[in-house]
Amino acid sequence: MPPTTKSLVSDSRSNGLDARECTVYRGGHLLIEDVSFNVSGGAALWLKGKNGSGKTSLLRAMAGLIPLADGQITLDEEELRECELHYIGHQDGLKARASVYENLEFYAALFEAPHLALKSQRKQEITRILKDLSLTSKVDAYVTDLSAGQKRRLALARLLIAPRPVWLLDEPLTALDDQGRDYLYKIIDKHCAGGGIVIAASHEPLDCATQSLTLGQATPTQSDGDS
Amino acid sequence: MRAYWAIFSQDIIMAWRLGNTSLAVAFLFIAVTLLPFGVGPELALLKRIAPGLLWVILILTMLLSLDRLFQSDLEDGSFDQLLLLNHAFEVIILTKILAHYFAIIIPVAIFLPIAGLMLNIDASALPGLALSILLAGPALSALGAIGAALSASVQRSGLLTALIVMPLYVPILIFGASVIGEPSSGLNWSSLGVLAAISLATMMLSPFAVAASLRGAER
Amino acid sequence: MSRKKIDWLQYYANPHNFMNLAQRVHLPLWGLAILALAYGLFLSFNAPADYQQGSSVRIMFIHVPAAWLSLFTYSFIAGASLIALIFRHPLGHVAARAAAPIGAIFTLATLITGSLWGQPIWGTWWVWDARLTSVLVLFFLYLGYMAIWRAIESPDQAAKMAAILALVGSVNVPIVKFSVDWWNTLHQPASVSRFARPAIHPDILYPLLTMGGAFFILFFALLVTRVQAEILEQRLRARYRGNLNG
Repeated sequence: MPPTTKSLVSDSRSNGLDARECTVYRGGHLLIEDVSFNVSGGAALWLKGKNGSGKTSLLRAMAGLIPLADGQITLDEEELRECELHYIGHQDGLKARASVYENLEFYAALFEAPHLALKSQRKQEITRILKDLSLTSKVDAYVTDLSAGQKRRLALARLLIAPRPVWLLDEPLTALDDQGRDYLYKIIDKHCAGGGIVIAASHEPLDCATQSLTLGQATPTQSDGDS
Repeated sequence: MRAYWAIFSQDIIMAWRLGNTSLAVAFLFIAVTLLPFGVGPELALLKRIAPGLLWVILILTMLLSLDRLFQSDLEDGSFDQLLLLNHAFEVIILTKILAHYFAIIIPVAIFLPIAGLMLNIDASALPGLALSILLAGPALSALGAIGAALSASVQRSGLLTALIVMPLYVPILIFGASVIGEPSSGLNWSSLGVLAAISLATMMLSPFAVAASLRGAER
Repeated sequence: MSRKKIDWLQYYANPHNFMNLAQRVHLPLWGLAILALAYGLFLSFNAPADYQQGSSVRIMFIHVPAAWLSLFTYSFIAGASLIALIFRHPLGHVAARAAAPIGAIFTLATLITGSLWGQPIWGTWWVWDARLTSVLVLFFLYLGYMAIWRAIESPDQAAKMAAILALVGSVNVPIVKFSVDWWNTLHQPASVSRFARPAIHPDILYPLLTMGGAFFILFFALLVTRVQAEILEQRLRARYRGNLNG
């Protein structure tokens, strides 16, 4: 049984994910200015905004991939970028000339998940994940031979290999068909139920979101509930 | 430790599957085949220039293939994932540099004796030549990685990478080619020592330059 | 480093302040450069001709100072890049980028005058002696540096990559010099005479140093002009973009 995600709600002093006065530049221009929000354990935040409003940059800044010009993002008082998190960006992070199984096995080794140390454990877990993703028939296929939707599902599989408290997802719904979307909502719900946090940027409404944040306005508004 | 081994082995397997390894070996033989058409098949001449020429071909092979070193990782978003890991990015880079050494340079070194014999090289010079390439290889990968990283975000950066890396390779080429002296004298052991020292130094220092460049590269 | 010096750096980080300084300094610098060059050339033509090489030795008065400047400019680029990276000083990147073509021209001048100087002696237009070969590799360093500025689209990214390249290159320069010198001793054919260097006689040293000084001033005159042009171009681009956005 894979270990559950770190439970944030049960930790009494936990104040979840806190972002204060975040400022991000891109290409020399001010993109995001003075954005603050708070996401408690078990919540899913839907990041909204037009193209170019800085959704991707904010996610990348949260992950620590680009620098924050100003402000601070913390998870339980620790810098978020130092914490373990999952980030799934526009790119799939998959090796084209490797098979589906090889890609997942690579990530299992990369994340050094303790419950996947043995080859037999990995095989079992990967087979289970692929079954949930409806990719079992493609287990030995090269990623180049997959459809866009299948690649996207495979990219999402990463989330399940190693449990991490925070998930940062950039346009996760793209290229997913209805079945894929249902699966995504399922795993997000399960993650949040265990106290995890999800922050997803998306053009389309995110049904599982408990709060939303819109970028690109004069002052970002944070509203609870989905729009 | 598992993570490093996974990165190392995946890089080697990908280099093979993408054809980088085969292309490097093929280029070795392309160059060796073209040479006699240019300078004539006179065996004495070929024998004299063979060691230095093989070194130059190795340098050219590297210059022409380095732009592909980080290209796929940048394009498919792998670097994002590697940056997110708990491990020091510089050590990950060093792992990739070593993978490049094993995936590209060692295969070329293996086929080098055959290429050398095609050029009528003195058989006694072959061990020294191979040793010089094996000892200098890590430096070639480490310095080449700097060029590859600096131009990683540029499309079709082959010639740009070659231009950047060429001055870095000149000292290595000088010492590498000097290992084989006149056929009568033995190996130039001090040159081999210098090559080994350069390899150690570049392996330690270049990951920092490479990491700094890759962190700033726009995907 | 004293606080005063850092404040001075900070002051000129503002392009507006730099432009004020540049406008004041610009013409006097050029005037000084032209005067110094004229004086240096005058001295060079009046220096004694070498008994062996004749009047053509006077090319040395351009060749040697050009070599000095080609090396100095690269150090300048490395230094400016270092300051730009460590202190996040934007003008550091601009200065380094502006200096590069100047250094490349000095390097090219060194190579060409070296070839012209040597041709009557060697009977051929190029020999692979230690100094010319080192300078040739330095020329490639300049080309690579300029190429990377051009190749990367994002100006911030280009600045960072160019700065890293400049620093890596500056470590490489002494290594190249050392290894090329050594390589030259390895392959010293007995028949070819070494690149004859005239004995440093005061009659020769004085014009040499004057030309060196003149080139030095010329470098700064060119640099100030180019940095001004670069800043103006950036302003133009910003205004153009502003106009496009309405």
